[in-house]
Amino acid sequence: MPARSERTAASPVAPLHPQREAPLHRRTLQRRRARAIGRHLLLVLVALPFIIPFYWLVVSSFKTNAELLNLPPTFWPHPWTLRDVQSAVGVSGFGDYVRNTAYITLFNVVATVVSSAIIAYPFARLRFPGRDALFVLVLITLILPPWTTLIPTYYLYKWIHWLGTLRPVTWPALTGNSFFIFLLRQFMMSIPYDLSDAARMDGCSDYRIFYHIILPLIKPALATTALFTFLWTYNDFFNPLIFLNDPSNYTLSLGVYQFVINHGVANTGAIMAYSLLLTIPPIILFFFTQRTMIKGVTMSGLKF
Amino acid sequence: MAVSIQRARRFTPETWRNLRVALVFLSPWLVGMLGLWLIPTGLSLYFSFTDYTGAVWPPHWIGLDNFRAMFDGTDPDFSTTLRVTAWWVFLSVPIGLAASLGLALLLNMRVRGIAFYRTIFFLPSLVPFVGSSLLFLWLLNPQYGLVNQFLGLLHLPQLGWFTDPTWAKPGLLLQSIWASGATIIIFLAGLQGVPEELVEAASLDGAGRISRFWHVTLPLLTPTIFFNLILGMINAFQFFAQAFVVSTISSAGSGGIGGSGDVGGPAGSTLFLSLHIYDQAFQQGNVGYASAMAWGLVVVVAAITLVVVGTSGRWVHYAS
Repeated sequence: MPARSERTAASPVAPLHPQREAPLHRRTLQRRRARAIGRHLLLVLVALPFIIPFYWLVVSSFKTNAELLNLPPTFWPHPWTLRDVQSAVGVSGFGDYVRNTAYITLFNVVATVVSSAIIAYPFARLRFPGRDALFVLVLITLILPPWTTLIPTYYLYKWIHWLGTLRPVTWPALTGNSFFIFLLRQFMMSIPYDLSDAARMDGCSDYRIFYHIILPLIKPALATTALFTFLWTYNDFFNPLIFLNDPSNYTLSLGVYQFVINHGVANTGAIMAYSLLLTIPPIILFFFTQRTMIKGVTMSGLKF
Repeated sequence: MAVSIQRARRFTPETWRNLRVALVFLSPWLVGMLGLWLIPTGLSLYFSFTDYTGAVWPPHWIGLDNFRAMFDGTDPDFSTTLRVTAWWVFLSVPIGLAASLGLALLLNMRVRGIAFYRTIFFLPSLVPFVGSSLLFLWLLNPQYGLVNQFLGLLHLPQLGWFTDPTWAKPGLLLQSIWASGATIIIFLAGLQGVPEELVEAASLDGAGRISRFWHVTLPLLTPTIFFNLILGMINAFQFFAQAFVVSTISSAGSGGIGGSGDVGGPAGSTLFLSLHIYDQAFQQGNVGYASAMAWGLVVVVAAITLVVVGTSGRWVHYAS
């Protein structure tokens, strides 16, 4: 692959002007053109395996169940049918799943943003004994795989009668997220200390400094936190699987899984339509928040 | 740093005030630390030395038996689990990284409309795990799946994918490469940080494309590779949702996908350590044993991470 993508490594972010000012020989121009076409062909060829699964998700959601099992498969549904989408939306409990997912996601976004910012503040802006030791704890919880704490946490929730409610997948967000505590701390540390010192000199309390000076200046980081918390919570399958036992509490992800387990066979169309519906919110969000999302990925290695 | 300076002196009134304010700000975190980390960690450690089943309290102390059971054949699935997890960590992670890097190189070409291509490669990473797993169950369906139809068209053997112990993990690998948009973007950012002058200088010195890539671009990219490798390996050890979905949902039926299969199936070929822990803890009721395995996982992840970090000095080049 490297051999093909000639001079790739050198390409800067800035826009390129293949035709420079100096008059160019016709053959050079032709060669450039041929090379550009070759590159497009290569890109299209490699992009196909990435785009076709998407295409397949869409068309499979609009085929009749008989057509889905046609061999060879058809690339254009004939006829297009809304039956699959209707049966996906008609899955018993679908309304509950939508409501639960919306509530859980919204709760996590708001709670994580607020609590992580509050918790990051003293780590970034206050000198107090034990700060560095406590921050090491943040880092440890950031790295440690969640598997050890997971099992006892389940029993703790059981003992305090939280199983069967939505609390296990919402309330923990109130205690902050180690990753975002870390991220927001970095951002807060980059704000000049003169600013808060001057405010403090004028008798401004830390609570007001936090709210009126720090928060407005870290809005981009707060947006990143909100966006990625949304994606993570919305995509999460693991925590709902373990902590949500009552079908009326299921999220969309868990709901489709249970649907397939229980009534799957011969319902492929409905399953694909459900998966398609599940995929729409993050895709829409991407088109509105592209820059924040890409920046979040490249700056901090956030993944989903 | 500031703390050590403060510590040397007496606590001033200001220090006390700061501590008080800090504790107010930190109170939600302290609650979480205690309730979601310290107590569960202690309990987990305790469980791992007991035969706790989740029902009878207090659990019965059995010493190191759980740890012994992993290796003395009491749990025959454990060695399977190790093989499957090792395959995933040591084979799929490097393959996935190489694929992502190759795609990033392509997306770094000077071509009009490159942003459009970049979007195409990024979008699959946004599909929720369950959705992409179901989609791949359908694409890789042995009988009706698009992929097998395509292979048939090329007169290649059609594969069993998630119904075949040999091809289940490669199927998961395809799915994870399809969804690796974030890794591609990180590599792309790394590539864009490679100074053009260096590559051009090498080019003037007569270095060919391959040699330029190998001797200039790749060394400059090692910090990015290191970063992706560490994250990739830590995540690979905990790989769960996709394997859980494709193994517990059967695609062997004659009506497409649906119906239930075995956790980690077929024939244990996708029994990742995380799946085994889940199964033992939440379905088989071997909470003590599952806790012991979870600690094993933590120790192995920590050890591998330390090894990778420790050897990084030899192959990661930071620009001076």
